[in-house]
Amino acid sequence: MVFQLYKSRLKCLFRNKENIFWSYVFPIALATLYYFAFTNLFSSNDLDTINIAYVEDVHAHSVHAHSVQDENTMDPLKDVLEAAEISEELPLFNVRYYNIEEASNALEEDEIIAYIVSGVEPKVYVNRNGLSQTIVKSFMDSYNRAAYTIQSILIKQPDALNHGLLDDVMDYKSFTTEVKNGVKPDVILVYYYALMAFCCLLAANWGLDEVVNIQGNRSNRGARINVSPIHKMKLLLINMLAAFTAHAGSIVLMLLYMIKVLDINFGDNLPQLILACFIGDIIGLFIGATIGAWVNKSSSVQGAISTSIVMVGSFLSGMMFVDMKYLIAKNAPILSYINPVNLVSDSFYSLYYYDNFERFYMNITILVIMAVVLGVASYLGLRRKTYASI
Amino acid sequence: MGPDEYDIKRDIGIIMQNVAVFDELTVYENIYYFCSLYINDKDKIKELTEEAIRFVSLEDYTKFYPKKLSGGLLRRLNIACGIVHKPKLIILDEPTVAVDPQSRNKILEGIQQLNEQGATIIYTSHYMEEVEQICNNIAIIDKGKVVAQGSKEELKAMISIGEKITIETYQIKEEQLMMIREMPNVISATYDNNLLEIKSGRGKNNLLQVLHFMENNKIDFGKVFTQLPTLNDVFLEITGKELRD
Repeated sequence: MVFQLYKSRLKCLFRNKENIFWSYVFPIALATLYYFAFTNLFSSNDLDTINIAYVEDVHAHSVHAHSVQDENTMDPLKDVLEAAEISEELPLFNVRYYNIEEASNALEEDEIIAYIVSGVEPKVYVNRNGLSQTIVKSFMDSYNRAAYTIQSILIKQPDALNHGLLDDVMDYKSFTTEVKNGVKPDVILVYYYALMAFCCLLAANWGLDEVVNIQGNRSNRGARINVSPIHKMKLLLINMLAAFTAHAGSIVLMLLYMIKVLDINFGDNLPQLILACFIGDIIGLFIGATIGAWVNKSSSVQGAISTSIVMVGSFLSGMMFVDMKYLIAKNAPILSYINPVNLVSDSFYSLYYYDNFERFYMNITILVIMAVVLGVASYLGLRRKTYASI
Repeated sequence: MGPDEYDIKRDIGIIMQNVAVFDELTVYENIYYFCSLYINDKDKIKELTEEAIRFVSLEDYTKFYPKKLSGGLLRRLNIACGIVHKPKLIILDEPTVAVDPQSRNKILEGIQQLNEQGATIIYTSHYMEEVEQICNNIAIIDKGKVVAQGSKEELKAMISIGEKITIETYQIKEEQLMMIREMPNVISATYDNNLLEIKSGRGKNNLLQVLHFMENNKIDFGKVFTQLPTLNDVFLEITGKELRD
């Protein structure tokens, strides 16, 4: 009997077009969207050399005759602009040398992105916003900061140049360290992890359906089931198992799609990754079941509450805005530990970046405790229900 | 009965007013599913499912999904799901609402057949002619209380109306109608849609007296019907004519 009921429930779930769309089609569509939106976001491959003009401000040189810059020497900005590069073969700027009128006309006719007027404080002129304009502006800000630093030091210690000042100023040090052998940190993966966690937690709507379907006062089928001699909790477990099977299938399919089709590297710990997905699924089912058992509102209100919990959890775990994950971890760490979406995505994250399973198992343990608490809560919520009349 | 009274539940079948089936399962799968809530043995479930399908004459629709069925077929599927496990007590709540006459007839025949096979039927309906046709013990419930109970004959004996005479006529005047109302044993006389309807009390028969009156007053008339009171009359007299929520 158990298998017959399980099989019938599976048929119901797989034939429900709405469920299949949201759990099977929607995540794959979203993963594809992420793939096209983010794949080249942090890559330098699509950066092109930027056309700019350099305008020498002769007036500025005469006014600042006593500046540290020697009038007879070349403006160092010219060299810096010429030397800047995207890669070894690709210069960052294609510098043209114009007077102010030519530069202005060229900018007007979009021949150049920006022009820079030299001087003690070089100025950048652009005629619109954009990535290239921002790059030029950022570049010049860096240059100005460095120039100011050198200037300040030379005023106090004129012989600093002979002691390697330029090398020191130009020596950028990165304080970011890689934490795992050979794994390059990839911010895009956080989006995929949050997406996977979101999809796992979407099982909440399935859990909700299962509980609504089994309650005599919520559906006609529930009434018919309640007058049958089967134990309600036994049937709920069978139905939840079927829901878990069907929903876990959607997660495995999405994972396969991301690995095989989108070619996303989730690291070497695939079994643990799948385990985290399945536990996320169970948490999702129990969240829905608890809402169904305790929230005494219409099915649509219950559905809205369930979806809102998953959406807010996903937002806080960085699905829409990756920095949110770090903001929460920094300012409200307790939220990170009670947000199941974050715990699931953090489990994926820890599998990829850490060379031990300590953090992964900590997350899994919290999730299992949550699942037990929610399971008991939904059981108690359903057990207390009696129907005076169906 | 508590929720854990499984042995009692096993012998009860409920057919609710609203169709309670899974839209995602076919006719066969729905009946099979509800049977498997009661029966453990797979072969037995299959056998009972096929029997229930034959009982409601849905053999040609076993692979249809509920959304593809007409109202009548859907009601028959609803019944099959409720009786598939062969319960000893079957509770039917208005199973013929919004059903075509053929399907209604089929359903009523089926219910009588189940009763003949030994099942006790509790049938709830607002259609008095159905109740009159299939029930041998009737309870009239008004505002949640049983207001009358007994066989149809016993119920009919409880009301004042003994006979109802209906005469087809085209030319009766108001004063003539008043005279009929004043005849002994006449409870009411109404004229509507060329039909004169006279309700008389128990005991004395009024038909001859009315026909003499028509002849003496030179009122032409066509068809004449006499009727004993129906359960509808019983219901209206016992519960009153005001509208219910």
